[in-house]
Amino acid sequence: MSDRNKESLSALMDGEADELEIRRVLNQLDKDDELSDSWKNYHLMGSLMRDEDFDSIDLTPGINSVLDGELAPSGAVDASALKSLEGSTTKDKASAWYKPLTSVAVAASVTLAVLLSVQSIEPNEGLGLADVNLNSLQSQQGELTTSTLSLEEQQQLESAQQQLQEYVLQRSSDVNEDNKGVLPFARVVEFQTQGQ
Amino acid sequence: MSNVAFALQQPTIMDHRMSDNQQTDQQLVSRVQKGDRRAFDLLVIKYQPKILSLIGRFVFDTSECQDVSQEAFIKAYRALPNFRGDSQFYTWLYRIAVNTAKNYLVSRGRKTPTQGIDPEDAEHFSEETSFRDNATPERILQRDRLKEVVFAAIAELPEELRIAVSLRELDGMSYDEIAEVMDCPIGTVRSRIFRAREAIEKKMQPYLEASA
Repeated sequence: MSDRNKESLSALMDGEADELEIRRVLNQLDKDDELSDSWKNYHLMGSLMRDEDFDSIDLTPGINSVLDGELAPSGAVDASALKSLEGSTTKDKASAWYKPLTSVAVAASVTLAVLLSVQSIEPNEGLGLADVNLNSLQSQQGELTTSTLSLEEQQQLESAQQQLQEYVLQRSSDVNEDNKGVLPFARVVEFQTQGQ
Repeated sequence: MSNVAFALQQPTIMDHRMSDNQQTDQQLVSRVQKGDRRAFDLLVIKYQPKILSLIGRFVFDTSECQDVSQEAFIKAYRALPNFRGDSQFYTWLYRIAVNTAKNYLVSRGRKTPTQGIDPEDAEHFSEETSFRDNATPERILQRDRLKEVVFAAIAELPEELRIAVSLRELDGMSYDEIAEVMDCPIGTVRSRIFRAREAIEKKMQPYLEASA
C-alpha cells in the first residue's frame, strides 16, 4: 500500500484533500483492502482520543451485497452504464437520431395533407370542393407505412388522420350551415395503407 | 467588544470539527452522486459506529440492531441522489436511521420510545455521552483497553508528531491553523499528522487482530 494514498486518506478524513486525491484514493480502494482498514482505524483512533463511542462491527459487506443487486442511484452516472453506452453499436446510435426524424416525417405528412386540402379549394365554386390528390397522399402514406414505421408510429399516424378527418367533417358541416367558412367544403380523404 | 462576546464569536473545537467533517462528507457525497459507490463505503465505515449506537438505544437485540442499521444505510444510499446538502449529511443520515428504527419497531408491534429519538436531536447526538447507554461490559472493556493502547502510542510519538495529531484530533484545528501554531508549512503538518496516525495504527493492529 502506498504511503501517498494513505496520506491522502488521512487528509481526506480531515477535509483537507483535493478532488484529484479523492479520486485517486477511491480508485485504489478496490485494489487495496488495507486502505479501507486504515480509514476505519484512523476514525477509530480519533473517536478513542475524544472518548467517543465505537463499534468494531463492519456493515459494509452486507450493505454492498444488497446494493450489488441494484442499479446505481438514479441520476448517477455509473461506470458500467457508461461502458455499455460506449460499446453500443452503430445501429443503436443510428436509431437514436432516426426515431425523432420519423416523428417529424409523420407530422410533416399530416401538415402537407392539410395544406393540400386548403390549396386545392376552387374559390369560384359556391360550395368549393377540395380535390386532394389522393394518389400523392397515398404514395406518401405508402412510403411511411412500409417497414420504416414501427407499430407505435403507425398508430400515431392513424390517430392524426382520424383527427384530421373529424376536423374536416366539422368544418364542412359548419360551412354548410352558414356558408362563410374559409374551408367551404372538403372532401374527406380516406387514407389507405398500402397493401390494403 | 467584551472578552465574553469576543470569545463567543470564536469558532469552537466542535465548530472546527463539524466544518471539516462537513467538507469530507460533502466531497464523498458528491462522489457517490456521480456514481462512485466506493465513496459510500467510506461514509458507511465513518458513520457505522454512530448509527449502530443510535439504533442500539431502542433496538436492543444486537443482530436486529445491525439489520436495522444496514437497512438505514441502504435507504440513505437510495435517497442520496435527492440529498442537496441543505442539512449536514450526518443530520440527514440520523433522520433516516431514526425513521427506519421507528418503522421497524412498529412493524414488529413494539412500542417506539418517546424520548431520545427525535430527529431534531441529530445535530447534538454525536456529542452526547448518553449514546453509550447500550454498551455492554465487554464493549466497554474493549474500548478502554484500546484507548490505553492509543494513548500509549501517542505518548511514544516524537514531539512534533504528537503535537500535530493532538491539535488536530483533540483541538479540532485545521491544517492551516496547526501550521501557524507550529510555525511550519501546511505540507509538513499534513505529513506529521499522517505519520502520527500510521504509528498509532501500527500499535493498534495487534490488539485489533486479537479481538477480531
